[in-house]
Amino acid sequence: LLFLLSPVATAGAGSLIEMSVEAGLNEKFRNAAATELRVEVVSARSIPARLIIDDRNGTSIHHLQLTEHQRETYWIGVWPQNDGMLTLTLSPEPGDPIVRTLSLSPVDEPITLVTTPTVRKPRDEGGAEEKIASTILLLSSNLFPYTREGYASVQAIIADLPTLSNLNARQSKALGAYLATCGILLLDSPPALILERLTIEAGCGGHFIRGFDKLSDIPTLLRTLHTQAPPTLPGLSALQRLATPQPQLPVFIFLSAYLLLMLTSVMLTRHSLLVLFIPLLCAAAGLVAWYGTGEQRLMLWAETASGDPLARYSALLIAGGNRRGLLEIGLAGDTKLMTGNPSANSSTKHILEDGRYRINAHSALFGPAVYQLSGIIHQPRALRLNLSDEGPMVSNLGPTPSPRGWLLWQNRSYRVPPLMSEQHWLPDNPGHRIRTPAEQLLGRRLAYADAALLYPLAVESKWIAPTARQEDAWLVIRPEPGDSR
Amino acid sequence: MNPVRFATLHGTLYLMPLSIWLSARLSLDQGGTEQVQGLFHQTVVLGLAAQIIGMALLFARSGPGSGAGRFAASLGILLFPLPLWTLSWLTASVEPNTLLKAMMLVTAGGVAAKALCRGISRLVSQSGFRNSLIGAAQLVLLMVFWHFRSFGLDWCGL
Repeated sequence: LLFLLSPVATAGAGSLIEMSVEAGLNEKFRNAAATELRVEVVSARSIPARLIIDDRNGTSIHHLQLTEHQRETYWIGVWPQNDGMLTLTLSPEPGDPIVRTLSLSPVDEPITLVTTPTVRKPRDEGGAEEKIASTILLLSSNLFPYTREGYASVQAIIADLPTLSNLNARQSKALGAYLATCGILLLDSPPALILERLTIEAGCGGHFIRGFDKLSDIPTLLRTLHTQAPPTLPGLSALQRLATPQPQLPVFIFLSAYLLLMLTSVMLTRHSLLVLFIPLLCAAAGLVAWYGTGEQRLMLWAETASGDPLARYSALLIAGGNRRGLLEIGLAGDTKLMTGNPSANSSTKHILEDGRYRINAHSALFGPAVYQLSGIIHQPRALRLNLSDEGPMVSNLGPTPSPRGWLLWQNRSYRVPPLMSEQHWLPDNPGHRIRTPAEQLLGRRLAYADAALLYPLAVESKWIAPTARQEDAWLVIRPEPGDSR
Repeated sequence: MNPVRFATLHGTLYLMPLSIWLSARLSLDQGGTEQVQGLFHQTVVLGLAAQIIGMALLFARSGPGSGAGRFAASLGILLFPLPLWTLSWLTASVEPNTLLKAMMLVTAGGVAAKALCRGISRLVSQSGFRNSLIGAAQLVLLMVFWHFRSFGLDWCGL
C-alpha cells in the first residue's frame, strides 16, 4: 500500500548505488507533524555514505555504511514542510550524490489507524453527538510505523491481536513509544492478560488502551477517551518563560566604559595619537569576552498522571546566546528534537548509529540556537492526587518521604509539605495567589475546577542532553484520567 | 580644538545616545534573535551616517590643525565605533565584509571632504569667504551623500 515515490534513483558515477524512497502512512501526514520514510539503498561496493535530509527541522545527516550487494533499509523520521516537500541527498564517498525531492500529502485532521483484516471504517452514530474529525487509514501490520515520528499524526489505533503480534521488533518499539505518550489503542476482544501486559508499559496508567467487543462501541469509546486525553505539553514560547533571559547589562557597561576611557584619555594625555589604539584594544576585549563556545541550558517540563511511572516531557535547550561561536551539542537517543528557530541560526544535526544526535550549531551573542526536545522519563509512582467532593487529596504511597511541592487548585497555589510514607494531605489553608513562572505556566494549563501537583524534578540533564547544564525542571502530577472534575 | 579631540567628542556625542538607546531596547523588548539583530543593524546604519557627518565637519574649515593632526582625527572618526561594530558582528547582525565596505565608504567621504577643502583653499585666498565656501561645499557633499544613501547602504550590504 505504500506509495512508491521514487522507483529507483541511481548514482551517476558507474551506477554504483540505487536508492528508493517510500513515505509511511500512505504518504499522508498531519500538518506540522512528523512522519517517516523508508529508504532502501543497494550498493555495488562497501562504502560509507551520508544521507542528508533537508526538511522543516533543518538539515539532518545520517551516516550510513553500505555493504556490497546488500539491500539496506532505513526507517527515518522526518518533518516535511507545510506543503509536504522535503529533499533527500545520498552522498556516497566516493561517488556522485543522488538527490530526491519528495512531495507528501498533508491532511488537516489527525489520523486513525485501522487494521484491515478485521475492522472496517467505524461509522458515526447519531447526529446529535459530537463527531471527531479524523482521517481513517486502513493498514496491514507490515505498513505500521517503524519510528516514533511515524505516529506523530496518529490520534488512535483500532487493531486486533493478530496484527499486533505480526509487528516486528522495531515496529513494536515504535508502538510502545506511542502508547507511552498516552496514545489511544482499541483492541478487538483482547484477553484480560494481554490487556494487562500492554497497560503496564503504557503511559497514563494504560487508561487509553481499551478492548471492544462490538464495532458499535468504537465511536463512544473514542469520544470518551478523547475527552480524557492529557493536554498537549507546553511548546517553545511557553517554556521560554521558565528560562532566565540573557543579561544585556554587560554590553551597556562595555560600551559605557569604552566611552569613558576615550573621553578621559583624550582629556588627560598629550599624545593624542595613543588614543587611536583604544578602540582597537576595546574591540579586542569584546572579542575575548564574547567569542567562543557558549553555555547550554536545559529547561524541562514533565507531566504525568497519578500512579503513572512514565512522564511525558517537553524541554527547551538553549545553546549559546552568551557568546558567538560554534557549539557541539549531544542528545540522548530517545529524545525527539525540533529546531526552535531555524532562521536564526545554522545548525547541522548528525544522527549517530544508535539514534543519538550530535549537533553542530552556530550561535551568536543574544542569538542562541533553540531546540525543543520531547520524550519520556521514568519516575517513581509515589505521589497520588485524588479529587473528591471535599476537594483534592495528596497521598504519598511510596516508601520514602516526598519533597516539598505545590498544589494548584481553583487558581490558588497551596504549599504541600513533605509527606511521610502513606501520609495524606488536604489543603488546610487559603493558599496564595499564583506567583512563580512555573505556577503561572501550570495555572494557564489547568481548568478552574481541576487540580494538579507541581514538584521540582530531580532529573539529571545527562539523560537527555549530556552537554547541557540543567536550569529548571518541573514535574506536574495530574489526577488519574477520568478523575478530573 | 585639537582634531583628535574633536573626533573623540564627535564620536562620544553620537555613540553615547546610541548605546543608551540600544541597551534600553535590548532590556525592555527581550525580543528574539531577529529583533536583536535588527537593533544592531539599525545602530550600525546610524553610526555610519554619523561618521560621514563627522568627516565633513572635520574638513568644514581650513586653518590650523591640518596635516598629520587631521589625518589622525580621520582615523579616529573611522575607528571610534569599532567596539560597537565588534558587538554587531558578535550578534551576527553584520558580516565583516559589510563593515569593511562601510569603513571604505567613510574613508571615501573623508577623501572627498579633504579634496573639497584643499581645492577651495587653493582657489580662494580671502580667509573669511574661503571658510564660508568650504562650509557650504561640505554641506553640499553631505546632501549628495544623503541623496545617494540607499545606493551606498546597498553597496555595503546594510
